[in-house]
Amino acid sequence: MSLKPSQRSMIVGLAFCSPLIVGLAVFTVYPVAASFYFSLCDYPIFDPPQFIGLANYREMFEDPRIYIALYNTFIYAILGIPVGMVCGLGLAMLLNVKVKGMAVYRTVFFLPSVVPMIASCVLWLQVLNPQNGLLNRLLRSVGIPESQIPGWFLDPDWSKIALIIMGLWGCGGGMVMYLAALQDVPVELYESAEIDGAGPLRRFRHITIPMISPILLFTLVMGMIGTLQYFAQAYVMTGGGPLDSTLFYSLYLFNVAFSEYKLGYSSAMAWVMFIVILICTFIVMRVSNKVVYYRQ
Amino acid sequence: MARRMATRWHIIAHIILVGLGILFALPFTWLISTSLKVDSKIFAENTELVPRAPFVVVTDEVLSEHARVAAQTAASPGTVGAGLKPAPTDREQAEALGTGQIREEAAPLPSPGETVRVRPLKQQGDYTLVQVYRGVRVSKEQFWVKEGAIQDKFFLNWHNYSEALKDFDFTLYLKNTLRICVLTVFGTVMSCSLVAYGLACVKWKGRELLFWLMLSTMMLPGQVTMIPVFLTFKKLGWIGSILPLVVPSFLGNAFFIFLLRQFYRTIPTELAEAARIDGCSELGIWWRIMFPLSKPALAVVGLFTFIGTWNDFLGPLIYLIDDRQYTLSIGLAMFQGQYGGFWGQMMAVSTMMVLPIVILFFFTQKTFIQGVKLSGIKG
Amino acid sequence: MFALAFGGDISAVASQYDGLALRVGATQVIFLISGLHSSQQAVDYCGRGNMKVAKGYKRIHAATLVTCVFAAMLMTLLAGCDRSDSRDIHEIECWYPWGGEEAEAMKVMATAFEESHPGWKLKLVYAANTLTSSQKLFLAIAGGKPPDVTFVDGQQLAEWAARGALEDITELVTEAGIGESDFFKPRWDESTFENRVYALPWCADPNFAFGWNKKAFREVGLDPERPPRTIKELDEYNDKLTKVDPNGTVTRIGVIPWLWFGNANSIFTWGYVFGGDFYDRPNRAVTANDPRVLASLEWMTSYARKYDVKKVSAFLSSFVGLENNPFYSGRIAMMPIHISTLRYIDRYAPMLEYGLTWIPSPEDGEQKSSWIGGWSMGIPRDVPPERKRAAFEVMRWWCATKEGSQVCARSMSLVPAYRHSPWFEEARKDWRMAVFIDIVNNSQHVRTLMPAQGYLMDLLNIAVERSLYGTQAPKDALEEANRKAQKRLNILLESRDRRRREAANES
Repeated sequence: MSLKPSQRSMIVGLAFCSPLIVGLAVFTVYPVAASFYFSLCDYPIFDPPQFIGLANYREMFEDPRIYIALYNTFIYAILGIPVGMVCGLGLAMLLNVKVKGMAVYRTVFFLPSVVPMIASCVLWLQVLNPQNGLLNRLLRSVGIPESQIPGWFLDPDWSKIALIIMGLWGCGGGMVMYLAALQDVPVELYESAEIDGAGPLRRFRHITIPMISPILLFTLVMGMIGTLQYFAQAYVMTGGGPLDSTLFYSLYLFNVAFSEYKLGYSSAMAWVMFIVILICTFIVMRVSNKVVYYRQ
Repeated sequence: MARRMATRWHIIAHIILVGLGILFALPFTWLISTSLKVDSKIFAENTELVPRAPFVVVTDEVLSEHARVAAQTAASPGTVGAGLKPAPTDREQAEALGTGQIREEAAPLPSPGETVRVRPLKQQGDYTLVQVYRGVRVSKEQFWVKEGAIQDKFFLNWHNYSEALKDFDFTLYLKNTLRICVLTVFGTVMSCSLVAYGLACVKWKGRELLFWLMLSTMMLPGQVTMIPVFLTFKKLGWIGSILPLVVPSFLGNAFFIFLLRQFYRTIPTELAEAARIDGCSELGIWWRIMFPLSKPALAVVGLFTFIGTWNDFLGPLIYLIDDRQYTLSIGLAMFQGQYGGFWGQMMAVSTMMVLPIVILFFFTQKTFIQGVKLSGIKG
Repeated sequence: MFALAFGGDISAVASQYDGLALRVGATQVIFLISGLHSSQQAVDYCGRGNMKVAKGYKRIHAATLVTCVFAAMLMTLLAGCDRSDSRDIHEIECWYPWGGEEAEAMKVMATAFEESHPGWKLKLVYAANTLTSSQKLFLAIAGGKPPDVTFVDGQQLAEWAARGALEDITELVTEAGIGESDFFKPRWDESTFENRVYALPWCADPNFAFGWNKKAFREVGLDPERPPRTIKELDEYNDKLTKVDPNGTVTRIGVIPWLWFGNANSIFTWGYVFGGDFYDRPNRAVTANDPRVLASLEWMTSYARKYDVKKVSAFLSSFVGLENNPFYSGRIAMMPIHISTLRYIDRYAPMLEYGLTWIPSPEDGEQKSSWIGGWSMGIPRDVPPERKRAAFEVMRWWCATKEGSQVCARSMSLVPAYRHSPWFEEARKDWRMAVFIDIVNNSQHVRTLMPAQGYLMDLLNIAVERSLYGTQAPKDALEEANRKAQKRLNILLESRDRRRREAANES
């Protein structure tokens, strides 16, 4: 029996993907379908879900905190993702230079990504304490008047910035991925560009960026998904306050589910978020097809 | 000329790296320093990085001063610090709160010439009543000193570590954590690399669909699927075992599959094509060509999986129901009491938890830069 | 239609995995063997650099290997099934939510129980209550795999009872001869819902004692032995005690009314102190907009007008807890003291000179006002009936016997909710404990006895925050909180009644 090439590659492809397919079928399909069903239910966790149609979705439109949470999340994403990517890439470029002691440097820059969250949270609360924190003492010593010293986690205007600053310390994770990607850029390309007289900036712009663009795309998409689901640090550091200024969408969703016992409503929130992320990802992936450079 | 340029660049690079490095090392340095501090210094108002503790150099002068103040306070009972009841030690204090009995004996004194670590107890005017540490325990010795005589000196409080290890079965938790980590890393690396190959290097109808399906599973927050996932594992009879934490990793992880897919797509197709013409099977191409070529990426996957599993708190907490099965991250959380915690010990355990990862990273970071150089092949 | 497809018992859907898995299993093993064989050849081809073009089926078989390895691995694992509970009836599993010193104390309590009950075994399981609220417990109850007995925060009880998360233990309580008079009344009321008992009160936290720093008092010429007695005095003392730097930084403050263990606990404390109440139990009416509660919030807000709320709040970071309490360093001269704070003062600030007394109240407010917090113990839903009685024995011994309550109180250094506990007599010898015992004996309140208490906490937290930061008038903020809480309460009770009716109809 012979198979057509397309059929054959289909079988091969399916075979390679079979772990994923099995995983999706066993551990994903039912929970996902169930959560969609929950979103159409009144489901107070301890009682079984009761079908109520689209009421949860209607309630969302009238809930002002949903809009606040969406606003906070988007601000965080728009500021946090690019800054994080630039810092990660910058670090990776810096650490890709062949200088002595690089192993130590790389380890040092990666350190903040592995310090347990509880420890780093305590540290940042101390550093950013408006009264006697390191940063504010520094600001006072350079002569900034008391009225302009930020209140960081206690100041609605600064709390998101404080969380973004905190997040930047973890850019070592992105750095490792960029570092790995940079290794795949053929040295010959740089050499021939140098012969052609291209400066470091041009080489970076025209060789490095395109060659690692698949990974840039990956970090962008993951950054989007991750940021829209961001909540652990905010939960620990601010609990959403002050004045809901750090009430991120996922934090609100979490509170709705586990402190208000409204799993149905939180499922509806999750599905709205799902659609939003899906659309964003789709747009990014579509645009990227023109920009990202694959060697295949 | 070019060489001098290069050296100059290296010096600049070093300066930038050291500067930034200090900033980035801050959390970890702080963690270690806190883990070595005495309790009273951990949350001192102006936090210092160097662990210090209060000390007094005991001289004859100090002792005679003490005798004078002690006589005074004894003469006017009712004032604060009247008499010289030894202040209770930590454990005695706890007992006293329960039984309401405070021991009443005269306090012994340290001998002159000693430098002793102390803990301030009471203050009266310019004088402070201090209690002396012998080793790591507070002793019954106490005396009055002038405020200025107490100095902060460099002191590493290893007691945090020994005390933490006393209540904390580090080796057991480590074993539990490592078992889960090793299985998970193995499962994730193998399964993700396979699937990523299927998604990136084999052209077949439906791979885009599968890719998007996989991607979309990441977009639904875990909180809303938590209960059905729990029910699935319950029906499988896996609650209370490590299976819910390990088995899914053998079935691919969307994040890492996506990452590897992106990497595989940066590897030129010529290699695979050549192998195909040579009659190599797809599995062979995956194992013989793509797997070794993607080592840096696989190292990233392995490392991230390891760290993620190592630090995972919610998973083990939910699915394990025996303290003997718990992992390091739960053990760490167990230092946090209802109203506070043993911060010094907690930081000591945190340090012990981070160190293996740091060491692992230090020794594997080379892998990230040892990508197989694809010289001669252009995209 | 969708409701039909997925409705009913959701776990029924999951149960089908078992059967499916076993059926597929056998076929996969056969594939596995054939796959192994040909893949070896495929690798050999590649390894030797053989120029021969491999035939299609070889590739397919190689790929089948992959499928099979994973499928077979999975199927073997799937072969398990939900084993039934085979534990001995005297082997009780108890979940507790704390680490640290409380975890140590739990071990002491368990040992004491086992010693007094030969042949019994108590398995303690830590089920964190910190970062994740109590998701482990939530999932276990919702998923029908609960522990035999668990600790529950008192203020959650009404909600959990109304939602059927806890077993009704009224009969067991009556049988054991335990009743209202054995416990501090507010805590007992909290354990009952609509005249049924759902939990036993375990500890009774007197919230709060008013602590003042004697050294700071002396420094500004106040009598260190005379704390403020009225709100007016408190304000005067505060003005004297507060120190501001020339550049405008507050270096010491007399009192910060909203730092009493969070915004919501603060307003509960002051609301009661001012003579207000938050819930009218017989009428099921939320009364957070009570004029006395409003008066307390307006008074709190007056402090936020005087000082920069963003800066002075930083005196007490909410996360770090009691170790770096600014009360120790004298930066806040007057603070609420929780009973658990005592041991931290002993450990971190043995030098502190302080006094403890009742919270000052306005002349027309409630004198000697306080409320009781604390944890209770309950039996989660779905604990099999034959295990319920044994589980209850653990609760009973720890919560409602002289020996048990004494062991708990000693090891945890908390006040037992059991009034006949011999601990009271011995603890009174410590002057500080004596103050706390007086407070708990006089206390009239718990937070609220309504099922939406958790939600009300969130709402009050927001209302206080808005008033303090000046984005909403105190009156409007409280009205809004009240309206929302009432709405939620009505929905909750209605849906509960509906479910009950349906259950009655079915049976």
